Amino acid sequence: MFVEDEQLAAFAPWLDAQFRARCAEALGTRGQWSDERVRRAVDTGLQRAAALGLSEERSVLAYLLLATDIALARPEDAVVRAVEGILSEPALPEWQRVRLGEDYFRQFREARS
Amino acid sequence: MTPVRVELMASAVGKIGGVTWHHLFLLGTDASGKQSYLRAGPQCLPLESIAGRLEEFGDALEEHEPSPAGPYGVITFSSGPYEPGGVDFDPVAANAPVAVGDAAAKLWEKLQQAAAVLEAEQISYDPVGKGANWALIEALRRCGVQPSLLPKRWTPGAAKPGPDPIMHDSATRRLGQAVLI
Repeated sequence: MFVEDEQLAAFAPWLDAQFRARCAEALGTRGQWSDERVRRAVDTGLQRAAALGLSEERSVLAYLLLATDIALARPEDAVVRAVEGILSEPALPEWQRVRLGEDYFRQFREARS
Repeated sequence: MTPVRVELMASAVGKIGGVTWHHLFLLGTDASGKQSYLRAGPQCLPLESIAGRLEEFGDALEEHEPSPAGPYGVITFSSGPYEPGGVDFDPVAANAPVAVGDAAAKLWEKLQQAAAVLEAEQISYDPVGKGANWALIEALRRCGVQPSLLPKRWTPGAAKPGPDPIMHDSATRRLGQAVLI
């Protein structure tokens, strides 16, 4: 059964809250941070994901984890700019953009270590 | 062909978000200087890529047979003389040595076998994951070679695979829109 958002909101208003909690849980596995800090990071990440045009849950979650990994690795500015360019590529579906952004980061993070 | 040198080549093929990406292939050179390539690619192209394309016998769409493995079919390998007009011929491709001398000849032979095995595995071609670059590097890995990737050349799929995605490809639910129950 396919449920439209208005119908869904009527009986499952917690849907986005559940997804937000899932994002916080996933981010929490990347480091020892306070709950408050993780929540703030998730909210910032969700805003940035929306600005990139990401709307699928899998893309948003993968983007949040990628952004966290990049922040932790502190790569060169050129790597960050390249990943942002890939994430913003208008010709590709969002899931491909996020996966290619991850791929670029993995390749060039490895090349430096 | 008995190569005395095997090189990993990276040819620029396009840009994604302003970032140039490269296609990998292997190049074997024999003692006389004759060269052969080994490349991986998709079994077919998705419909949207061939719509309107004319081939020798007419509209490419008429000849199109969808693959059960997905829009790109499975990973395939091909090889042949490396010469102008050939599929990967690129005189300015970046190169990195993989093997020389006897080791090159042995590796070339093993690579043909590894390519045949990979093809027989019928792996679905994924242009942003297990695609041509992944397949070529995987063939080298199966021959006991862990090649260094060419510096400053982005070759999607060639890096070590990352962890499995937390949400899989099928999880396409959109935020705040609709949900499949």
